[in-house]
Amino acid sequence: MSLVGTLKGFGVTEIFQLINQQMKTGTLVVNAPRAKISIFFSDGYIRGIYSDSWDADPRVKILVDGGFVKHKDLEVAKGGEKESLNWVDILIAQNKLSKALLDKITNVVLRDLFFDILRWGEGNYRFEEGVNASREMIECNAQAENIMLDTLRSIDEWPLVEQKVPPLDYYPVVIMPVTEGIVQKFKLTDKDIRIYDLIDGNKTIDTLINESLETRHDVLSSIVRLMDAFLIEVFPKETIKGSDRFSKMQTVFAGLKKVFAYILLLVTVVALVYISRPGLYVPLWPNPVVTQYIYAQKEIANNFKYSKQAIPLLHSDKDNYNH
Amino acid sequence: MYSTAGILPIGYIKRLFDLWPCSSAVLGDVYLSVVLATILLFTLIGICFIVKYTSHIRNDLKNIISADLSNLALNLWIGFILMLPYFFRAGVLWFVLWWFLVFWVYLAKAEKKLVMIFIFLVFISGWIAHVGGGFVTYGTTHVDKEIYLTENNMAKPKDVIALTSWIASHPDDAEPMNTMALVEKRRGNFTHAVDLLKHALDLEPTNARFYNNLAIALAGMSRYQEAITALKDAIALNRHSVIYHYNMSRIYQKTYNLYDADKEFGLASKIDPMRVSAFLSRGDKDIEHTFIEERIPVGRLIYREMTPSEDLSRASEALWAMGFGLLKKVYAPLIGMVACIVILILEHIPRERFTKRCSRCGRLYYVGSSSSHGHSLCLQCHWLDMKSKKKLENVLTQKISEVKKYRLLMSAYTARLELAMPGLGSIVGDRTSIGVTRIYMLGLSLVLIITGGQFVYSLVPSGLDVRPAIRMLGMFILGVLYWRAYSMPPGAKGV
Repeated sequence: MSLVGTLKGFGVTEIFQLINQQMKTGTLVVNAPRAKISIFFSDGYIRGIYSDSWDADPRVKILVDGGFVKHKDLEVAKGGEKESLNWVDILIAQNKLSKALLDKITNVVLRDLFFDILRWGEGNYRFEEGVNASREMIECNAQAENIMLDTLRSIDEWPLVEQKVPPLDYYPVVIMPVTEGIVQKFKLTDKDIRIYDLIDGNKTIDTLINESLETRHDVLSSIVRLMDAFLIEVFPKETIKGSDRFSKMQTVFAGLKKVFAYILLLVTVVALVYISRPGLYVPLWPNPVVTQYIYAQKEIANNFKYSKQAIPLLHSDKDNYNH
Repeated sequence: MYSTAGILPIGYIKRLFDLWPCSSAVLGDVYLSVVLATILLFTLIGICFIVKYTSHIRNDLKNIISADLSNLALNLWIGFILMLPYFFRAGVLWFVLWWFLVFWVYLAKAEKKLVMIFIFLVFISGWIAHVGGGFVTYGTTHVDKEIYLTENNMAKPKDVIALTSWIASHPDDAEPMNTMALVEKRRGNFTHAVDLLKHALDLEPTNARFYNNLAIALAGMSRYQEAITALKDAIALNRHSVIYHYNMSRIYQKTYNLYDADKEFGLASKIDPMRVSAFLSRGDKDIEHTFIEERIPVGRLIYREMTPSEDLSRASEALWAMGFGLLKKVYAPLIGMVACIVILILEHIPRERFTKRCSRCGRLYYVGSSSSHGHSLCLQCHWLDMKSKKKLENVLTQKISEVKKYRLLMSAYTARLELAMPGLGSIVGDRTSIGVTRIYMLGLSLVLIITGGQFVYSLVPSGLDVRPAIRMLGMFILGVLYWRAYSMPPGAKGV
């Protein structure tokens, strides 16, 4: 029996919930225009993932680019692959890769995959009982709910982060030491501080993403937050040498910006007061025209009152009598 | 005679609405009270939005400027943005409209509906001001006061002169001619009265009241056959008038046609025996010459006071200026349309560009979703919302405790706000309908307490002063509101 649905209206989150609740074993295939992704479940846990958009195992890139495994060692391990032994097993057996590191990298790949799936608006999914694992499948062991919760937070924040993301080949440079006060003021997280600690002025943002063992979106969010807190600044390669002088200039410029905000406000207010000066202090309530009409009514009523010509409510008659 | 009458006999109230100055004053007071309470409602809702959404706008400003501006600087800028209409000498409703547009992208569905209602009211505000102006000037336009006083034998010579002058300058206004005819009739100048009434009938040939008065004037000149014809016309136009049948009966008596007199008298008694009995008891003194004049209906006078005139135009313009100012009231529909266009444009900006606060956990977010009630939800809470309760203990206790903590904080915060101003806490706590009801009641109670429910005056005093009672009512409503705000704060169950 298979379950099918579309990605519109968070249909995929509901199916994740269903699989988790009912401890299902099977394969969830998400078919979107960009890629076809298979997620393998066993008793509600994610046991494997695969995307047809991968040219190779995505963990390889992270391992090599992050400098966790040498390219040469990886090539050797791949050359020694057999039916029952893949490059991962070989590297672990050679103590060139730890299981914990591999799990962490797998987690990053998994979260990147979730990020894509949850952001896709078009496509459909199908859940089939039974696991048809392929050789390209990446094995993992994760609870879908935890992964999803982190990913949903990233998606919530992404539109803001996206518009502030600097080019990935820029170099982040520390311009101010982090203090407890700054952490509290800008609500910096442990992840942000970890990224801050990785910044040494010699790594591009791309390198930081590879080395951090966090998802691309999380690293970029942290960098944007650190920039907003004026703890770091990013520079293109050409200007990195003069960054000390530039960072000082940046600090001065930031201070000027603050002062300018007050001056601009003051000037605008003064200008507007000057322009609209004549009528600014004349109250709109009460309007003299309305008051004049009300007073006229009151005066007429008073005239009748003093001339004892009030309407005798109990004795007045509805009709006129013509004699 | 002029003090509060205590508990009013029901007859008093019925009579009030038969008397034009009283009914106009009462209607005007009710109308202007409702209008003022509505203005207060939307102004206070605007203030509620400021309290609720300033943090959102500050967050977005912070992100847009991307400079480390202090909260003080940002708050000053926000204050400047919100107070911008002040520099253009705009009325309070311009402020409200401006605030609604500034906060539009942050508003929940129910709040957006409120804004649309407000824009509709802006659209028709010119007409609202026109009706208000009608009540404010009811004693000074279209010689209505003179007509009323003359028909009720309270007119002074200057009132009659005003009527004469009006007839000369407004030859197409039939009602003052009818009134002047009554004056001429009382003076014994029947020929002139008949001429005036015939002219009035030329202008309004379907006015049965004019035919009746013409018949009385003709009877005064002993032209009974013509009087009978005039009354027949009146009866043809209004078969159910007891007065016309009664007067016809009297004229038949004058011509000694006792059979038809008795027949008409029977018809009159069939329609309203009590009133015929009253006519007879009043006519006993001079039964041979008594005819009944029909007074101008209150509805007709109210219609006349709403007819455009120079005074009304000035007053309605002034009333509109008290609310809006800056432009003339003729631009009201244009303002409404422009506001609609601005909203349409704002609606096309993706929602994820603006800060939203999760109604469940209080976190500021950008993408998110919304609950079935239209409240903002971050994706995490939306996801938790979909989960079965059985499974919650397994999942993310930290998130759930975050939600619980926020709920407690919010509950205490909204309770404090509700006590500061009934309705404020409800609006901030996303209980819009309760908030709007409470704010409207608050506005109404303040209007009643401050004004005593009196805006316009009855030209002829009725001998009643209900202001103390109205003020007491306002205080009672205010008391109940605060008691409700205390006993049922917005965070409490069932509110």
